Amino acid sequence: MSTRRKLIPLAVLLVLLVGPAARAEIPPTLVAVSYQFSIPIGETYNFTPPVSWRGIGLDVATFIRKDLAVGLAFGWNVFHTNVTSTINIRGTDITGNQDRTLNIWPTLANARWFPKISSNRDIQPFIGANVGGYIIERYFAVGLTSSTETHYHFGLAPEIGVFFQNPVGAVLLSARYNMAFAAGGVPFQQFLTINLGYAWER
Amino acid sequence: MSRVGKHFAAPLLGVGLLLAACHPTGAEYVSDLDIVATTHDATFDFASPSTYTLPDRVFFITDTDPGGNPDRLPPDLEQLILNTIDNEMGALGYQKVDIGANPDLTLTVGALKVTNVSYYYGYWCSYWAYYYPCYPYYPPVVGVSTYTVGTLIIDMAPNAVSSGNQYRGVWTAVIRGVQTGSNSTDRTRLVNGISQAFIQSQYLGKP
Repeated sequence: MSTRRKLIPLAVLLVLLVGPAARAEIPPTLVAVSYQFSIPIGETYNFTPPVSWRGIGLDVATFIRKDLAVGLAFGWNVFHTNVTSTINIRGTDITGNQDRTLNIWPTLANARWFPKISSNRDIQPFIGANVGGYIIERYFAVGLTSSTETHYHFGLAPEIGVFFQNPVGAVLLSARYNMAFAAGGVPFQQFLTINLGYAWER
Repeated sequence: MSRVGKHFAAPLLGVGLLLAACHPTGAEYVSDLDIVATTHDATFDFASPSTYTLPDRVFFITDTDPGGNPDRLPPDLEQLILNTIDNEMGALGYQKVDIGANPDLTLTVGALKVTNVSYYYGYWCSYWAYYYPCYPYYPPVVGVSTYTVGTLIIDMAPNAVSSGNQYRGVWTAVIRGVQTGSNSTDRTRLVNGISQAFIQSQYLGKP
């Protein structure tokens, strides 16, 4: 009886002491929305040379350790060019105004490592690795003729970035090198995405 | 990070969608739909011929009156086309001769005209459209849009390898575009198209 009476206050004390700590163990979920502009490289540049100013991204991540988060990254990047030039298709030279558009929808799973560089983490850099798929729609039109082909590409994307924390959230600045491997006759696609966004906890 | 940050979600998402909405569109002007296509026999030496001949008429290629006389292009347009081809061939070093003078090359020119028609019907659907089908308006609302595509085809064949009335072409140019209805605009586009066919065929001409 006396032992039981001693245990109850002890249990209450334990709950009071450990409770906040246990609550802190619930992994916070990070949500980020970003504007993206992208620089085409390689075959992506050959098809649509101009820098893409049309892009949006959504990131969701959860911390599995204090310095490690896993998550998902979604996006929509649009590359476009309108050019009048001569191209050769199966031995025929064709001159005309060409519309070329790449609609790219990355769907990536990622892991990000947050090295501790300061005690308050106001400026928090990270290094990340993304893996997943890119849905790529290639549109080509010359004259009255057009073709659209859509393929799913396996891809990888290393990433580096930094969060600038403030009292209401964090500004996100990052660079992601997207590599979508060849699929369905569409060659290896590469582009560097610069993300500027805002992140907050849920 | 504070939960206050989530209040920024909607505006940021809105800005993002607004940017994404600036999606590129297609052709803006009718001339954006013009194309010039050329193909050639890579084994043929275009430097060896010296003379060519060109008919003085341009016919429509049509099957509306099989066996009958095909329609011709208006005379002023015929002359514009033939003169432009003559100028380009002359600039490449070829000399024009009559068909009876045994020319090295024969050029032929034909035209195609295709009118495309699209119809649009109007339908009405009630709140109960899930259960009942939609019906056409009475009288039916019909939208019609038409456009005419004109194509000029230039063929080049060497007489030396031709037999009878059969010619083996070594160069073909196709100039294709939507007719605007403006005579001056279409004439300019036609001349530019013929010139482009020769510009993009660098293998043509005497050295």
